[in-house]
Amino acid sequence: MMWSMLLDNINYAVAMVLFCIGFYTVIMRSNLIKKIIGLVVMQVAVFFFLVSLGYLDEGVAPIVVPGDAPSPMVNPLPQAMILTAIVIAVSTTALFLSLALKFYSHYGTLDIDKVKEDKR
Amino acid sequence: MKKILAVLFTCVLAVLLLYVAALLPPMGDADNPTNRHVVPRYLEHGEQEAGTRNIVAAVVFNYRGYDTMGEVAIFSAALAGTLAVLGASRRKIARTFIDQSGVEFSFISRTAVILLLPLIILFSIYIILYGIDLPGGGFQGGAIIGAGVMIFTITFGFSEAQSLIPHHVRIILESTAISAFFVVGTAGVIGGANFLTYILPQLSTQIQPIVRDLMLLALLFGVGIKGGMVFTSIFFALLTEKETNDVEYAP
Amino acid sequence: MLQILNIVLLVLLIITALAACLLRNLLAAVVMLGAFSLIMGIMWVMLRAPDLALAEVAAIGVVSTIFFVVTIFKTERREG
Repeated sequence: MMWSMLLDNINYAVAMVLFCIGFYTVIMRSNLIKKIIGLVVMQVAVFFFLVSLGYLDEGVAPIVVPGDAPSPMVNPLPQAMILTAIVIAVSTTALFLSLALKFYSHYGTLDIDKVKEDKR
Repeated sequence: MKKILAVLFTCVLAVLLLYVAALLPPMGDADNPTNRHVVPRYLEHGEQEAGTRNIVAAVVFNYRGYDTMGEVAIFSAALAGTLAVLGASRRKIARTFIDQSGVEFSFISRTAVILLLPLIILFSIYIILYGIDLPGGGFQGGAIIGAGVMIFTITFGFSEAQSLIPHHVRIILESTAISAFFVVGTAGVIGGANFLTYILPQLSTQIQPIVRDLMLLALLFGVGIKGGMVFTSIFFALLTEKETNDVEYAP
Repeated sequence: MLQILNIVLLVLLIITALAACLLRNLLAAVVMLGAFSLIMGIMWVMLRAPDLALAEVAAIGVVSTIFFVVTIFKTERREG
């Protein structure tokens, strides 16, 4: 019973699995570039989940085509929100990358574990 | 020990999230609670009230216009933060590791980039202009402009690219989006309605659609050109950052 | 037919995300991130969102990948 309900919402399930993959990468890998990659995967997973919420089975894209028979359009509100969120994702990636560059120029390595060892 | 704890925590998180995913209403159902309250009004009256055929552009620029202004502010803050961390260079012409490598790009690559770059810029202007009626919009065209400039920089060297879009031009163009929002919004206030209104009640009904289309075009172009210039500036700042490169610079 | 395409795309999403997070060579991981962004772009078209497909492929797939490659070129190339 639960498996069939999960197979109906397989988009949501894959979005949550991707979120967990990104989360594990952020907390367990000690390289800074890997942490940034995990952050991007987490963000894309959240976007995927939010836009899948507004999907209609027989829906068309939310663009009015003149002269067509009216068919139900998918929800345009999550799409507008995720457009802003993609801009924010690129901005935080650029800022995080510039901080990683400064970290490397100061410590000589991008590995957090090695820096913690040296300090001790 | 730490690894086992992290794996266990991630598995517990995944099981909880999957349990929630199974209990949500089935995807694609027509009477989901997300498709009911305010969305039918946007879909029915969107074309008439906002004057665009792209309902997503109507929501982004008309119904939720303040959010787009906030997004432009976030973009400016990211550029300011990146340049503050990396140290914006004020040299006129600089040579980076792309110029100083011993291997030059082959004739095929250079010819392909020369032939494709005008088409890329034309395509980005097309996507910005037709953001009102077709899929597209402001930010998408800006990202394509940024990508085109990056491909040109990689193939031909940084000094060529910097002489194409020099520092003083980039400073002026990076402020187009927020000034466009300011001008359009204040025009709405002067015309007798709220801030960021496109239908001005004091004009005659003949001129109202033209003024509305002009304001939307100004906003779209502002956001598009700003996106392109922000990406270009961040790319140039990442390239010319001095402390991590062990190649000597020639001033 | 579309169900099969949907399931194939979801499996490819998980495979590319796992590859981007588990590879030791940083340049290869960033290329897999670009592939992940492209597969996501096809997924957006299947969810009837063409604006998002354009924005994602242009911004995350091209621009963010080039930022990563410039940073990796200036720092180290292998993890650990």
